Amino acid sequence: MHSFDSPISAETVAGAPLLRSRAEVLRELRHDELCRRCDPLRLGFETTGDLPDLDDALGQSRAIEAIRFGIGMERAGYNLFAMGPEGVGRHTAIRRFLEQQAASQPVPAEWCYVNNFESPHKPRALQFPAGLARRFSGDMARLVEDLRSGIPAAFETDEYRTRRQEIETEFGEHQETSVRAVDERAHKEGIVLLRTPAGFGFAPMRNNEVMSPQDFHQLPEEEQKRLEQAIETLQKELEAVLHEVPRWRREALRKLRELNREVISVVVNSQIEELVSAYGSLPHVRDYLASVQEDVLDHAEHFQKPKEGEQPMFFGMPIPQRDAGEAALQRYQVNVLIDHAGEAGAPVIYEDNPTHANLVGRIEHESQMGALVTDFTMIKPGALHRANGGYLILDAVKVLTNPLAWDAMKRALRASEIRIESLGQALSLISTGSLEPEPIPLQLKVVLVGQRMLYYLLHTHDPEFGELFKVQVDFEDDMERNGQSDLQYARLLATLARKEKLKPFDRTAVARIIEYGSRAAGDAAKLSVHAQDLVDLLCESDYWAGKEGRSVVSLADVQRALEVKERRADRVRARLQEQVLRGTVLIDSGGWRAGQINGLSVMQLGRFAFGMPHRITARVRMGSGKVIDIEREAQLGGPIHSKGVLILSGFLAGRYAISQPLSLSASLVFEQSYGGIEGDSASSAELYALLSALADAPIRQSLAVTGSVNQHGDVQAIGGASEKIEGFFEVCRARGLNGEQGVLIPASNVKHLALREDVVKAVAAGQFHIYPVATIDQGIEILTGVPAGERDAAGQYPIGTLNYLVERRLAQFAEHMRAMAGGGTTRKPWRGPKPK
Amino acid sequence: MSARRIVVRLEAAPRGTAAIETAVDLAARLEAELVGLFVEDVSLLQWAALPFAREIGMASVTSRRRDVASIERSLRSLAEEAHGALARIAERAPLRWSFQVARGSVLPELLAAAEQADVLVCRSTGLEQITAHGPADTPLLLLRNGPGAKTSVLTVCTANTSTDKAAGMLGGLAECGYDSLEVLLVCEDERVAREWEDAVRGRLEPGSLQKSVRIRSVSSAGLARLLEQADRR
Repeated sequence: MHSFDSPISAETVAGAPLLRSRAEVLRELRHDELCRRCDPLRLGFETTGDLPDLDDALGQSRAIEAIRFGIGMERAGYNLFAMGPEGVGRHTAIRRFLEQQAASQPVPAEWCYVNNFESPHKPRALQFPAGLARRFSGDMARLVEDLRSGIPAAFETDEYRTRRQEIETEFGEHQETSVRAVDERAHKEGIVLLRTPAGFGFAPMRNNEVMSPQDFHQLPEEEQKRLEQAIETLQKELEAVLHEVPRWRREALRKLRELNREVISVVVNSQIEELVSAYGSLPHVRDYLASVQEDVLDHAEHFQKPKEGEQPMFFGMPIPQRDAGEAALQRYQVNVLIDHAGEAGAPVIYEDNPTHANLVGRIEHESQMGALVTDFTMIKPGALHRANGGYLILDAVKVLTNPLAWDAMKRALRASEIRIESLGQALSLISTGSLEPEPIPLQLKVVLVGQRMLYYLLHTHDPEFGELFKVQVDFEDDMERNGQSDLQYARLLATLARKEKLKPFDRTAVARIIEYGSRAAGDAAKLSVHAQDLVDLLCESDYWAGKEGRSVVSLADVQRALEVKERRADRVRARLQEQVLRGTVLIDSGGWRAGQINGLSVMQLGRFAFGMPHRITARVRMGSGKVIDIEREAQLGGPIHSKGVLILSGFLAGRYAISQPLSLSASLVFEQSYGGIEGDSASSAELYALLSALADAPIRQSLAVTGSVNQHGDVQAIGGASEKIEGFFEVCRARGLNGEQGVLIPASNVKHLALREDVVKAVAAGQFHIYPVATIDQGIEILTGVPAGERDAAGQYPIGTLNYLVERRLAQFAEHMRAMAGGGTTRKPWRGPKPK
Repeated sequence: MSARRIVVRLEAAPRGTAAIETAVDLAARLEAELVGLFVEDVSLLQWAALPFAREIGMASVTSRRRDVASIERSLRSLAEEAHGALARIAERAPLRWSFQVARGSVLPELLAAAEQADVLVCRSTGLEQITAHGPADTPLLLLRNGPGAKTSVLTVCTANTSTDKAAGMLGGLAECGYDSLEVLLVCEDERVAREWEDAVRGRLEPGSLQKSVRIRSVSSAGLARLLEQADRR
């Protein structure tokens, strides 16, 4: 049985004189380093009412350059993807720049769909200069109205009625004469032609009446045969005549159509000529009017206004018509798809609901007798139509989550044309008759607004994306903070306040919001440009100022808004702190203990983040060189946390076990943690706990630690330093500040600190301490009060130093392992340097 | 005078529809009873009884054997159709109406029915020989095909036609909206014709009706020709 008793007792190393001497060597932060204040007196204005509006988006110079480039670049594929977090003002900035640019651009063309008389299922698209489409539609409606009175009037003329009568009489006489000729021949044979219910029949005649069967049978047999043969012959003759009737009718109809054309052509041509003279400069419109002219001449019957349910007849036969009444005249309507009348500049359209149909347009149907029918008048425009010739702003995530909308948009951009296709038709879900409208040429800039992650995902997974969205507009989360930027920030606040119609803010209020901006950016040298956050704070401050009856928002109002907002969100933090204070969650804030340390974590609940201390413990024993992360073993630790723990093994092996096996088995755990742990900001705390356990050197529990560590023992920056410090401060303050408590933070995080006023005051009063730490050695000295120790010329750590103790413990583990493996007699035990 | 009874010849739709509508309109105006008469042409039955009777379809131009039973079925079917059309149209107006079927030769049956009526309404088709049978004292209102789908009316009377009935019918037609009323008087004696016209005009209400009524004398042959021409349309 080997003994691993520590050569130093807790009482020896925990002596206050030693600790204080180390702390004096390692500088602690002054109170003025904990938060970068904004001096209201240096702002140089009284209220935001004195400040002019800010023209550009503050701190977004990269994004603005990209927008200007994207707007100016006229080549295909230079569409924009505006990326960045929600609320930084991407929409506002994009819209403002696009509207400025659009105002100087010409109003784009207007588009109509009209009937294609040759192929009605392929409606024609007509392009008009701005303001003309609606006029053309009205002119066409008037044309139809005029023709509805002009054409019937032409049909009522004596000339028309006479000539029509002639045609009808000619047809009737032709038919009657032919039948009568057969009838006359029949009479000569003693036979009569009868009109039967369905046609004609021949019968022998006696005294001008049909011969009875009895009389017929009394006739001589020869006479009977003669009559039968004669009737058979006459039947054939009549059949020959009746076979000709359809041909005569067709001929008569042809003549009637020609007559109709002749009679109405004067009316029609003069009306159409007026339109041609008005729109003749547009070749496609002129072509359309020519086809209208031909169609009207061919279908004059549509304009005759028959009574409801009454069909035009020709010699007792209905004239074939595809449509009737008002419906037939719809063919001459003009469906104005896009109308820019009265507008100035190019359109800037934001489509909030970019479904497939809302993007590329749709073809509506209506139910007729249980069937779904449609025509060109039921074509409806989409956002691409409305934005054609201008700019279209879309939320990337909405386009991507609407079925087929993304593909439809890409197809339109690639083909530079808008092809309206029913979604049901495209997916073969419905088989009802539909249309294939002529595609409309597309020329516009699309601006997608989305998260950065979406941009990178699309770039990776959609090969077309890079070709279609070549302009990356990357919005910053924050901006540099300097003397000049504070004033610029104040102008931003003034602009937002005016835009939201809020009371003016005095300079103390502005200064506090600037400090809040730093805090929100998580960096004393930065300012958050999260416009939505700022607007919320401004509005809430304005509210509290109103409650107090103030006409100018002051520091007190801003402070109250911040406190009340935090109060609304901090229920979980209060519950957790309560558990700590009641001893349910074990956190020490005083005393000494080996292998135990206060780590710090940040919890993010929605937009509210707060820090909380966690007890981290380490246990060591002889083993095979593994540091067991219990969080990972229990599947409560994330990969970054696991990585941090694995780095510890690298540090231990590299520093203490270069020439011998690391015969250590250690376990690390976040005590009383039942949720997941992620991040490596506790890795330095874990290492301190491990070193403390190995050296059996107790750690001051009045301190908490944050910071990650690398394999060389350098302490690295972490996020949320301010929240973590405040989290431990809250616990200590609740228990009573005693001047011993404090937090170790990475030295590289000092510039990020934006601590609360109460923390700053406590530090200023010497009640709380914040130690910037660059290396593990610095940190362990503060925590244990034992010098870390550096290797001397012989490569040995001085006796009594913490590193000496750790190295000796690990060597003992290694020796013991060797002894167990090979009988323990082959090598000498480890000897440290002789004590002086 | 007001008419008591108007007889309309019923034929299969759509040919007979115009006659029914005119007769219903007139009967409603004159508050007369309307009688729809469907004549089963006996000559068709005789023809169908012949061993070689074949019918050539007007539309199909095919020949098929017909016998008495099939013709009777066809006539019954046409009568039912005509009855239905009469009922449908007559129900639109507040009037008394009835339906009759007669079997015999068409013209004698029509004229026999006309003897019991104040007006006989029918299509002009097939009535070329009507004067040979000599219309009695009832005016005959013939419907002619006009240009397009329009129908016009023609009144046929003889010197024996009751001037009261003729004047009553003309007054009813004027009320129905006919602004031009042509009366063909089958009479070759000018003096008799003039006396008849004077008697009728004397019974017409003064005013516009006098101007809209045109009475023209024709011979029997002339009437036959006019009706033939109308028949061709």
